[in-house]
Amino acid sequence: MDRARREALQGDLARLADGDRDAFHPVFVCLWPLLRGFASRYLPAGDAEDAAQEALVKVFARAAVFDARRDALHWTLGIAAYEIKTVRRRRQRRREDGEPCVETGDGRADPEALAMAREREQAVEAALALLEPTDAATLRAYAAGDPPPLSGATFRKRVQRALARLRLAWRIDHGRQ
Amino acid sequence: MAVSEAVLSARARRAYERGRLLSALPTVALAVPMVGLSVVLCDRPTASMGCGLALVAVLVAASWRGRPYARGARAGLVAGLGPLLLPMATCFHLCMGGVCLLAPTACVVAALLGGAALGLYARHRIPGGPDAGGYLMAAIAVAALVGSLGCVIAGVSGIVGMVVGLALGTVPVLWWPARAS
Repeated sequence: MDRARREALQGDLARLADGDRDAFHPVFVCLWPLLRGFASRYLPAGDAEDAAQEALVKVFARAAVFDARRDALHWTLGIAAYEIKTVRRRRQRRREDGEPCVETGDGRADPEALAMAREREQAVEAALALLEPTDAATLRAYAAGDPPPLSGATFRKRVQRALARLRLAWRIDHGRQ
Repeated sequence: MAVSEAVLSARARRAYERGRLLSALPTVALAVPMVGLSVVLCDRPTASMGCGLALVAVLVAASWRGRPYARGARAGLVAGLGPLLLPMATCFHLCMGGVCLLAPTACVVAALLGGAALGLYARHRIPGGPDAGGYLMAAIAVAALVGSLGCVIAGVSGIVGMVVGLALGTVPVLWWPARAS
């Protein structure tokens, strides 16, 4: 988001907090694509849309108490990040509860879900191929649960850095940055 | 689930209006001890509750509407403190046990001072235009209702005196500098 749009959002959100209903539409027009894009970086398409909608509604529900001294963009993205975290936790809980993800009701594998899973694995492999071999090896060892060849703290730090590079490579490869 | 922008906009709008109503709660909470004080000390619980309910309704409406109305309501809460507390103080410290003629006087004097302070504040801080009208309307309504909670101790004459005092205190301060300039 460029500086001018960011300043406009700051001003409009401050007006909305003050009770100026005329600022509703400009804030909506600015935030909806922004939140949708932000959520789609961290969640699959369907969940991203839901999370963006919930985040947008929550932003407006709290707009009356927005403190104009705070940064409007950070405040908005903070609410969206929390919503994304909630959706992720919900997905994780669903998986832990044993809800079928890939299999159909009769126990056979759902071909569409299998194809998506295969596609996802290929995308991860492609992103790993873009990394330094040491980073890729670290992440493979971490994913496989192999005992770390280094001390725990060093290995964790290395995994953290390799994950950051993987995320960056993934986004660049998928045209999101 | 994908929904159209119009549906989402309507949902966001409803959430915003609901949020505005909830944002009125802290201001309304300020009125609760005032009403409690009036019910306990003024010996006219029905009148106190009536004034209290009217005050809560005006505060909710002004805070929900926002802008000059919300600012005016907050200023009115402060301006009404004098007519709320002074009659109670005079009754309990100067008129123990008998008929107290000081209470209506206290209502008028405190309302005059509160009104003058409100007028001065509005004159210096609130720019002219349509906003000023909304600000003054909300401020005077809230100050009068807060004052009524205290002046109910002196009966109807106390409340009427307080409202007149508030008007006499506010109007000249607002008009005099305007004529001078």
